[in-house]
Amino acid sequence: MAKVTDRYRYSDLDFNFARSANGDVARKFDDNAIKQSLRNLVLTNYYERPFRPSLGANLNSVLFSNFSQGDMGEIRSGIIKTINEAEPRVILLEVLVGFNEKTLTLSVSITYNYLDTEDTIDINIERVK
Amino acid sequence: MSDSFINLSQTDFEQVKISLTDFIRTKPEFSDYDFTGSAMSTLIDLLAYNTAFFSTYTNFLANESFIDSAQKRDSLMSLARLVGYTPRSRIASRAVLNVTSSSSTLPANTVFSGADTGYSFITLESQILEEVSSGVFGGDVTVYQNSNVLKTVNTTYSFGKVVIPEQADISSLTVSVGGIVYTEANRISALGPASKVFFIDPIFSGAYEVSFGDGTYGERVNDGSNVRVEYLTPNGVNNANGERSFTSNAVTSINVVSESYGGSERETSESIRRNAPSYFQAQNRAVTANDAEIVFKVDNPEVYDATAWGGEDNNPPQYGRLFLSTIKDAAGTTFSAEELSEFGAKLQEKTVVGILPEFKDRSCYDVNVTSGTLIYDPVINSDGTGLNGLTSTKLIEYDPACSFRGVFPYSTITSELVNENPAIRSIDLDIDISGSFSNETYNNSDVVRNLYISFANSVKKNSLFTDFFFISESLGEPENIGFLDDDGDGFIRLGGVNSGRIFNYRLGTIDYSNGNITILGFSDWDTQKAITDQGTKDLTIHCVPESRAVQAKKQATYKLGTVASIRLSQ
Repeated sequence: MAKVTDRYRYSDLDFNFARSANGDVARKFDDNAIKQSLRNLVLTNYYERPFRPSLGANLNSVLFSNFSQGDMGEIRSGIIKTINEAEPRVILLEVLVGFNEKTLTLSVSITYNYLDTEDTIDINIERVK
Repeated sequence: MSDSFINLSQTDFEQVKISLTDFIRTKPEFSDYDFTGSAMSTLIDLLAYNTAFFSTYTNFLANESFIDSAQKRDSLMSLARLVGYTPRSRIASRAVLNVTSSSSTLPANTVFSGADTGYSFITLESQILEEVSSGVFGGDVTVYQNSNVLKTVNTTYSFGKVVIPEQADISSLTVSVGGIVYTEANRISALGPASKVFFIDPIFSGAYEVSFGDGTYGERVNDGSNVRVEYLTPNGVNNANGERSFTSNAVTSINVVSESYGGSERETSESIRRNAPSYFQAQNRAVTANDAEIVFKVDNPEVYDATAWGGEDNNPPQYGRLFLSTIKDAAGTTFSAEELSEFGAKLQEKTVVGILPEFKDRSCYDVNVTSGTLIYDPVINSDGTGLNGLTSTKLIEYDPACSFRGVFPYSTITSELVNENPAIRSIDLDIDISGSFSNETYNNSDVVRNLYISFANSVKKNSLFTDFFFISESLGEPENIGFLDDDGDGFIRLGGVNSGRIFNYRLGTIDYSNGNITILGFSDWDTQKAITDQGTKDLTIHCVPESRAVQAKKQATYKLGTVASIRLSQ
């Protein structure tokens, strides 16, 4: 069987544990693997990972607070710090944070550069009640 | 370095994680294992956490399975049970009182209040008093400290057991079934189907359980039987010791024969760890001196401490005897002759046939600091002020205080002095050990002047010397001041201080290996002159021990004696 890693720089498990065509667990490669990693980091809360209590952007802790401009800045700097520390494969270009008071949704937009290619991921967290 | 196998020797989280990462590094399918945000990294974290959790759990489990390493009291109790050792429960403080009353009977549960400690004491059994004069009855009674005016009664009998709470004093336990008193079983081999016995075993959380025989070893007791279990629940324990002021409405007068003693908390975990294997080794028989010590202490929980040794170790040797020395409290109070007689009778049941247990008071010798050198740093302490006092304080802190198995921890004392005070750069102390013979005791013409010392520590040759003492005028020594020393070959000599003459080259013997000193019929010691001379001390014999860490063994114990001023040097 050909080595997939010969053709791809990065390879990771699909966190959804979807099945691939050959019945094995699906994988993600290169930019998809990195997007999954960024999403995973941003959605990680403090004390979630064993023995690494300060890893993650800790969005859950602010989700139920009354948002102010200060909170937005705190979330943004948390995301920047996490990605800079834990994801060396990307160069972070911009992080935008917004809160829609009608839909009670926290939106995070992360623009980054990976192998001279600029890309953006959007993460939305909705307060359901 | 990458490994194609998982290293199992590392068990903490970080090391397991490194081991797993190294393993995955050898597999071509995934490459993101070392980026924190990747799914692989998350899974590796979970696996490492799981491994670390179970390795810690397994480590705890293994530790708790052995008496040497168990930390939880429940585990120690369970392990002690395996070797037939019942950890000591709380012990009620007890006192002996001489009472008089207008009634000839002192009923059980008569309350005596203690004014000094504030605790109440009760009688356990009804006692008949003898008539001491017309209409006045009296006698000695033993009272026990208890939290209530009555013993606690437990009749909850289910699943063949009665649970006794951890607050109970199980040495006071009485068990009866249908009004018939049962006795505690010690040896299962001596039991038959009709033996009316109960067993007591430690269970969880420091509690105990009473159970009965199975119909083969001990009579079976059926569910629904009327089982009555009574025991003391002392709340004062060691705080109730030392009570001397008793009052009671039930008696006319109270004289304290023996102030309250023996109250103690339940056995500590460290004590269980030390005693359970020793007790198992002894097999409930007092064959060796060590056996006798542990069996004696387990059988008599009111004893504060004890030591045992064979008569062959005595000076002079007394073969066929087992000697014990015991105290009832930390202050070293001894038991009465009657109490010791009871202890002896109980112990004799477990000694080898023909070996008689005998109690002796411990000998307490002195450890003296005769001189020493302290080198200090003049930058920190310009003239060494206070360093002598500091040394004395430290020596007092480590005074063995006549305790059995006490040690004079020389190296600890010197190292702590150097470590705790930066002004002290080095300290070296000269030590000797000494035993005294009173002029008053040996002055009586009926007293045979045989002097025995058993230091139970090796002593140096040519190190024996005495303090100033008087010798007979008939020897012709100016001032009649004599000295004793040893010749290095095991003989003790008597000489005169002023003339330097040796009057007797074979006055006595000294065994350097064990510090045994024997002087028989010492008639040249002028005790009368010493008594009339107010400034004269007793005859004190000193020796320099081979090791400055002098330790108490057998009946020989030590306390800190004189501490001379030590030389200060920069």
